[in-house]
Amino acid sequence: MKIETRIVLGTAFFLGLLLIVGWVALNEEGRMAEFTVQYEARSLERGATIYESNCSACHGAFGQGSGRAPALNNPRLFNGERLQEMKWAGGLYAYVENAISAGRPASVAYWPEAMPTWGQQYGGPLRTDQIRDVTRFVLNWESSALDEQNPPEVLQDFILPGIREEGDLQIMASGQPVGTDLAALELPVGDPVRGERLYNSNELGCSSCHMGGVIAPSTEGTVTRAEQRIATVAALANYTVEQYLIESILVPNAYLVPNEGSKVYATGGISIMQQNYSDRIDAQDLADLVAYLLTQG
Amino acid sequence: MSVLPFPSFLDDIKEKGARTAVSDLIDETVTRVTAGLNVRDIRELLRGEPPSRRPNPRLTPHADAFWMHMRPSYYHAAVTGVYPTLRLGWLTTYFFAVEIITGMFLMVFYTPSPLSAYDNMLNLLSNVPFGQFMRDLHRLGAEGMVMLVMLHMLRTYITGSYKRPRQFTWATGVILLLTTLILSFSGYLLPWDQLAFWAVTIGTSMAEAAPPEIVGKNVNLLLRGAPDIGAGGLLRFYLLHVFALPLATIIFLGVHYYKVVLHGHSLPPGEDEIGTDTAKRVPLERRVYFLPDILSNELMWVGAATFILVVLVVWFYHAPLESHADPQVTPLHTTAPWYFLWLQGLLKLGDKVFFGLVIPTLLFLFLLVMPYIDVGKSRRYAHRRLGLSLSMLAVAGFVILSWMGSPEYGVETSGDQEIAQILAPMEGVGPLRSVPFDELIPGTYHTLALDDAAAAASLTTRFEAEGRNMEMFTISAVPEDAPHLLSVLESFDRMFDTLGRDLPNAWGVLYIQDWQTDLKRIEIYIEWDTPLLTQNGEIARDAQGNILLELDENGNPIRASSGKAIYVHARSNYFGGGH
Repeated sequence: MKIETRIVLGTAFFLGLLLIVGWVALNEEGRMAEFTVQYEARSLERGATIYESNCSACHGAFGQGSGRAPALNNPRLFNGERLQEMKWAGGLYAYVENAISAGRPASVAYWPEAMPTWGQQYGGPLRTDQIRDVTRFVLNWESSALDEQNPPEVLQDFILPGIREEGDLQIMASGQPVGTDLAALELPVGDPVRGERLYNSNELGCSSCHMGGVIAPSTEGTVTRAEQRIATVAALANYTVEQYLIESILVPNAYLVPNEGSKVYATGGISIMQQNYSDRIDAQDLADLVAYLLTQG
Repeated sequence: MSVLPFPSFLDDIKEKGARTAVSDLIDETVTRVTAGLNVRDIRELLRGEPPSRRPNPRLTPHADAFWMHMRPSYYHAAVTGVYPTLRLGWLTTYFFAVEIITGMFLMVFYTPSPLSAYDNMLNLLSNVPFGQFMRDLHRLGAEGMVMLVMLHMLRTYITGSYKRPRQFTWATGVILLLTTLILSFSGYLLPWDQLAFWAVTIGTSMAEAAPPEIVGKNVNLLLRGAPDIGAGGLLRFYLLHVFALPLATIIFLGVHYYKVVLHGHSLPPGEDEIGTDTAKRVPLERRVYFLPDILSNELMWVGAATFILVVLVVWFYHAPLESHADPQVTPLHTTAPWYFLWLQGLLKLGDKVFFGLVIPTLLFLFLLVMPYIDVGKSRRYAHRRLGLSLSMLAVAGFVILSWMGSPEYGVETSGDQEIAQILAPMEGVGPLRSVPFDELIPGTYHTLALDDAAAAASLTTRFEAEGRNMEMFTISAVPEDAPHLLSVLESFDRMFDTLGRDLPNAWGVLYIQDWQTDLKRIEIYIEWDTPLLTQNGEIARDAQGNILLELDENGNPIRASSGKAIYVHARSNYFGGGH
């Protein structure tokens, strides 16, 4: 009789076990889905915390931008315009994740301050899962950004106002060219900040050759070099630095910088510098560019 | 005649007839599989009848079968009840089996690398059917095993079963206790969450304290694989957890069981004459055979233990998974697992080397050799009053030290941080996150106003006069449809009486804002009068014990404040259970 009681009890336990495990099996799909939803929600909460301490100073607490970096709750981010503009072939999640991980270079045409790299694989401080958390948080602005009933009041676009949006360069291109008559040239007062922006812009592309001195002489030390040449080259006697720079931009072949080692700056009396800046910029642009270059020691 | 050197089955049929030949074949096969029991013996076993053959066929499997030869073939009737063993040793072994089986399932979904370990956990919980079930079973089984080993040791001590000739069995048991503790602890690191990272950082830094410096430094280096815990440390703990420690446990379990078979289960202390040990000389009438009585009993316990484990795991217990390990963020109140809290309590007493290393080592060594020191012959309770009292004192000391190891004892963080930590802990849920999302109605709720609209209005006026940032200091009364929020605010208020003793005239605010779609930001803001500090950095008090305040040039107290913000998403569902 003792054995029978044990066997009955043991069998009851095993049957109960089977019932519970079967019940768990039936609910497993739902449990896994629920876990995913909850985990993603908590990930978003962590992302909000990381955003508050690391990102909100530049992008604004509500993603509206703060003057140092563009707004993130921008409809153009969510409606695909921005992806097209950046020629991004992947999805929005990957775009945002990449921008956070890899950062953004400084660009006067867009934003003069670089966005740091945040992902650890790019040398930043945040782990992959933290990048994921922040990405989820940023993407959660989608519904409010696309809500036309509730347009964002103050949003800063991805491009600095006054460059592309207001067509600064387009106006410039349709304006009066400077011409090469240097004797009659009268320039307005130059703005070095705008000059730097032009210098680095895609439209003029000065920095693409002059930056770091890889292809053309370096931007840095422009004034020093100009002074040396004026002092040593007979043909440049009586030039001011300003005049030398203006001539170099508008008539690149007037004075050819000697080739240095493997660096070839001119062949057959023609400089490698683009020859058409006199047609592409107006007096104000030229004044601004020169004003900027004069700040380059 | 068969071509084989022995009669074939066909020959058997010719000789005995088909029916007898088949039944003989079945009988022979069953006898081989069961290492000695034929069909008839098994039928008798299941019916609970005495064996009909002599010698007793139920003893043969213990000699012939691999799985059985480490079990005694019969037990003394005096040890088959719940007393004296309480089945603790056997249950521990069973839990070890549960750990091995569930552990093998978990291994399939796990890579020991900081880059993937945490993601493996998430995958296990969100994408693997029965993944959470297995993980919870593994974790609960581990905690259960630790508890069972400890109780088993206590039981062995109380019934005096460690005495001659079982001293060495006790020593192997102490080693098994140690391997169980380290097995459980080494499993901590594997999910690579904050709990893992910091518990193991503390554990290995205790090893680092071992003198002389060159030894401690190198032990630490061996354990972590680098000065800090990283990929190397995780791999080492993984290999310890899945290979070295289980191997050691299996070996010592073998020795332990072998010794039990060798000496027999010790009888209850009153059963034997003092100084004799008759466990191996069991009179025929007091024998209870392993087959079938003990085995069926054990199978019932397997059912019961598994059933209880599964019920707990399905409805009551989920293994915690904290946030991803982060060397930059130390969570407030990191504690050791409960079975090492006594060690943490010891550490609060003073020197890290003495209390963290010397005392535990001496304790372990003492346990190991204890049966060789306590050579008193009698196992009777009445004769061992001193020993039993000392052991009860030791248990009490263990409990007290464990309590001292908890964050409640000797914590040095300030009251405002404690309160914020209780309301919204860095890891885990806490009362604030448990408030239903709908009740987190945007507004500023003040502990002095609670659900009182008039008080709220007067506070608003006061703060406006003080020229504060009114976005945050426009106080609202808690609406009627937010009872959970109100109860959190009430407990917030109450905490100033207990934890806020060093915060004169303190009050707190919950500032709730809509932040994003389905996302709210809650700031816990606490403000108090700055106490005057003595030169030692302690709070200055007057003769009556009242806290002295730091005053500005107009003689008004200077207010100090601290804040902590959390975010709550509608679907994170802290209030709906989960973990």
